[in-house]
Amino acid sequence: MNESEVRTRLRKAMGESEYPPALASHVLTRLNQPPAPGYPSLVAVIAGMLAALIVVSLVYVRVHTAHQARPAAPAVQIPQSILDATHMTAAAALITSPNLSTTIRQEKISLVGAYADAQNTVLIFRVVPATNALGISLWDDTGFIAPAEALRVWPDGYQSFEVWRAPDSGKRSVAHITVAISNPFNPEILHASSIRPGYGDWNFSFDLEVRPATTLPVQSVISLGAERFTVEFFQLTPSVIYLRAVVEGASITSHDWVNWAVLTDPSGAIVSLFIAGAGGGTTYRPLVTATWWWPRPDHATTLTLRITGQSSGTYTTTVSIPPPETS
Amino acid sequence: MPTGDAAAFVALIEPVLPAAYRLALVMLRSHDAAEDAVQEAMFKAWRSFGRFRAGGEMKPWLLAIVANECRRQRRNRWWSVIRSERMSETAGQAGPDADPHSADLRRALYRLPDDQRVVLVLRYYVDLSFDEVAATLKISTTAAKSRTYRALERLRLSPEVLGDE
Repeated sequence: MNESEVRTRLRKAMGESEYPPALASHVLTRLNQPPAPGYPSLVAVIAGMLAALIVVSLVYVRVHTAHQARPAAPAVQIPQSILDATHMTAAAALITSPNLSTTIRQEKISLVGAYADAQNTVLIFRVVPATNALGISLWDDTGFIAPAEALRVWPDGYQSFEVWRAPDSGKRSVAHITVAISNPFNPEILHASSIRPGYGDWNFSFDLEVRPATTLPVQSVISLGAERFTVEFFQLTPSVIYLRAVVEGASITSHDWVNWAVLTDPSGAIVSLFIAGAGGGTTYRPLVTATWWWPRPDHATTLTLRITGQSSGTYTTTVSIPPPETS
Repeated sequence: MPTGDAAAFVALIEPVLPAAYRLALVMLRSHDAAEDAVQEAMFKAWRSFGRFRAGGEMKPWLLAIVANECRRQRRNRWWSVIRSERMSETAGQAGPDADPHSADLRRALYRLPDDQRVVLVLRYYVDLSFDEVAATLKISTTAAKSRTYRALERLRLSPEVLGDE
């Protein structure tokens, strides 16, 4: 085989990449920005610790001067488009309306919907008049949950905040949620709120029922060629279908891992994922923990789970999905 | 180069950007990550442009920075999350895998040790001469050729001759 043939075969295998036409302008934009943050220096770490001490010493006063939430007007009907966009269609009947609102600057901010289950937490706000993204920090009784993993701004002032995990609910299946809102988005407030609650422009707490998950049937260990999938969770909640597996012998140097697990409906159509995550699989560490979240169908159906290895082999199983829960 | 003259620098490096992007794409296997890596690498190149040896080859110097940036990003990338907006795009990347032989070769390529995969990418995908490959990787031309030969042997694409076209 001569070099020309080698080149042809390798290029065919790798595919021709499409060069992004805006790359040069993106580079120019990047050149006009500051350097990416590196590892914190010792000085920065010490400064951070001192700042944390100051924050802790001040928090008590701030908590007691925070804005008080007050009852809002009658609960706002959440538009279907927002339910669809936040993948909450199947669990729409279970969304509660905490009826909390406040006014910051000229904007009235209302928490119009809240929902939590074993694998998903969604808060839906409405800001009137509509504004840019709020800053949000979320706590439960065990500590800080997350800043906005996915705060998205929708038409008509709706903003949704999604965390792909459950708040801690202890033994009673009800989580005590504490929220800090900054308007506008303020990274300093968010940073302070991640250390202790109570630093937002608006701070409030409410109780939220956490809906349980049921386990779906699946083989717990699946060997496919060079890979071995150990299924840790395959669950159905009122809002999502959740799969988590540890995969030995695989790597995630590309996005191929997203398609290791696929759900199809009775017609064979692929059920769209709404979020997936994978970690740990580098060239030097061929052990991956991968998770997939699919929105739960809004009707009873039968779905097929197909797991495919990177090298060879496919495993399939079918699961029955009951109709959405209404209470 | 004056620090404020970003536009002039971009004009200077623009001819290298397609090669830089190809290299990053193969090393990171993600369009978004490749574009990020190229942007960050060019930023670093711009800031260290004063250390660029006058009369030296610009292309290997820039590609070396891109390769280093890709390695750095890969070391740091422990967790990867894809939202639904990118799902369809990812699922649609059948591309070369439509041909099973190409798919096998592609998988084998990605299982090569990093140093062997990079040398093949630079030689056959970015179309560098062996001298340029050597300059990019800061190794000798002989080492670049022998590394290429070993990589091709592992892929069972043993070449008759490694020329320099």
